[in-house]
Amino acid sequence: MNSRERVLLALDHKEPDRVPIDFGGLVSSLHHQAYRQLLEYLGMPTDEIPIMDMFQQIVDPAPALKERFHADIVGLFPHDSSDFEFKLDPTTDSFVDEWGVVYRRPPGGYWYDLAGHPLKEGTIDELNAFRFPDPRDVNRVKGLANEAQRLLRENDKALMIHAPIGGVFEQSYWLRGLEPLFMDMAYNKKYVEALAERVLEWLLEFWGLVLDEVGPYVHVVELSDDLGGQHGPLFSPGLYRGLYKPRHHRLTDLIHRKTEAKVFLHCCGSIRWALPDLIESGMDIINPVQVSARNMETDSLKRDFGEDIVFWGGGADATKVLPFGTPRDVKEEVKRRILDLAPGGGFVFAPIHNIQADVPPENIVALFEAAHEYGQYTVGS
Amino acid sequence: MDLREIEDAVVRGDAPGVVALVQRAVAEGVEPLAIVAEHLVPAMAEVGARFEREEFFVPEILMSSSAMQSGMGVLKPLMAGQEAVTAHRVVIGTVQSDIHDLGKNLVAIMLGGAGFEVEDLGCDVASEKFVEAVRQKEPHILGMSALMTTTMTAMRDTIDALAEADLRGRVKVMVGGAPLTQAYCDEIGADAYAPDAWAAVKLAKKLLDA
Repeated sequence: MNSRERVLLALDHKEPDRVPIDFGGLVSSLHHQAYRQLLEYLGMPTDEIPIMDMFQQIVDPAPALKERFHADIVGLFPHDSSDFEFKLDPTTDSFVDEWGVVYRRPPGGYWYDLAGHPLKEGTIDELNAFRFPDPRDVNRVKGLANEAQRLLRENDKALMIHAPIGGVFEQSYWLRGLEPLFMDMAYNKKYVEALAERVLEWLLEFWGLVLDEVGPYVHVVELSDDLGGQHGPLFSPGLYRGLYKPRHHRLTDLIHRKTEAKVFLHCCGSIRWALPDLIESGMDIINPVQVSARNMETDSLKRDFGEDIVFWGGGADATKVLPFGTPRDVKEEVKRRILDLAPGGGFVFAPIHNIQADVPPENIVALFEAAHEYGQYTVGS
Repeated sequence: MDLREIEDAVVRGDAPGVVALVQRAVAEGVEPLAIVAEHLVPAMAEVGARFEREEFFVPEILMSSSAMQSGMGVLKPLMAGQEAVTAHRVVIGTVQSDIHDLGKNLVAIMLGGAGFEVEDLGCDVASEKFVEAVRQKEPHILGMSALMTTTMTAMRDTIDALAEADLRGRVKVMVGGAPLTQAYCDEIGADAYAPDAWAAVKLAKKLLDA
């Protein structure tokens, strides 16, 4: 069985030969410092540390490392639009994206923070006058179909299309600022809805363009929209169901019309409360399965939702065990998560979000060794 | 009038309603301090309780806080002088190089809601600025927030700077933020670690009772 077959079976809620492993994606890779430490630990060359995403400061790991960790998925990114040129301001260590969102890294910081938001007034007039980037700029997909076909031809991995943009809620708050958007939710719901609708329209155009090119080739489409904090929803479930859920559904409807690929939703935090809604709104896969957040116990998540959604992530608690445990602790944790999430398929192993700078290399090795060792079906036998 | 309507208006996040009701209460001879202590403060405690019960979320807290602040806006001029004697003062800020402030803002809101007088220094606050604020404002509590392991080290620097300036003994230091732990709080010589805004209120009261 090759990687592609393995992943497709798992996404179909069937048990392949072993649990598929995701390593090196937009939310399953590692910080460049952790990467360098890992390469040194393994005696691998450290001359190339390619940053895959500026915001999160994560790398595109070397193919040899992905092979070593038995990674089953390979990713593809659309390009920037033709009128955007990335420029880093070295004096402030900041940059502006094509939406006008400012990112800044503090001295000694590990990654960039959202530091400036273009929608300052929060009015409909401002929104109507705001110049959104062009979602259908053809440069975004230039050569992308050929690239997808090449990836399918040259390896046996499953193919995932990434897009470093926010979802309907996330992109709203990247444009407006989180606290201002929370205030808008309190005082100006009409504005929140108008903003959500504009963002959705953009996403529909963007994904329409991208999937017209690569829809026939990809197996997973990656969306992102954090709804949870450590303890529960970031804002009221009623508001999510009224404003964002129907828009998520319109987006997944478009994606499912354009491709047979499954829709992957990255949704951090305590989000058990949202799973029935996310399933209803057409999400096929939920990531990262943040086990340290409230009500995110993997055994009950699998029991209650395992037949209806694929769990992608949940590899090991990333707040205590992965950074501060021993390699043995990490392996025990992985074993436990696999026993909870793997039975019946519908599970892809991945670290819970990107591996951070201070995770010891021996723990990273233990994570993926255990994923391979304990992930052989029938698990636990 | 039924003064409990003031609490209902705060919990509802109805700022104009709070203003109108507070003005009516004042006109009917109710003491401003009593309105704060017996109605505005308990209303924010109820807001906190609803957040803990997952009935309220951050938008609702911001709305209720804004309503409460509107009421305080009516009462403050009437209480000038009195509250300086009775209120406990807090200076709060996010440490140097750190621009995350939502959590710190929630703490400031809940402490203000609990009757503390809060001066918020904002974000990216250098140690020297914290020390100067302690020197000038003489707060009972200094609150410091950080969201990153790379910036929380500035808390230790600030505590050391307070000691060097002979001010450490005059203020209680409370720390909080995602990377903070009780162990780190103890290590740097802070007086309390608050895992969230509700704990901050309870701990602040406890620190001042001791």
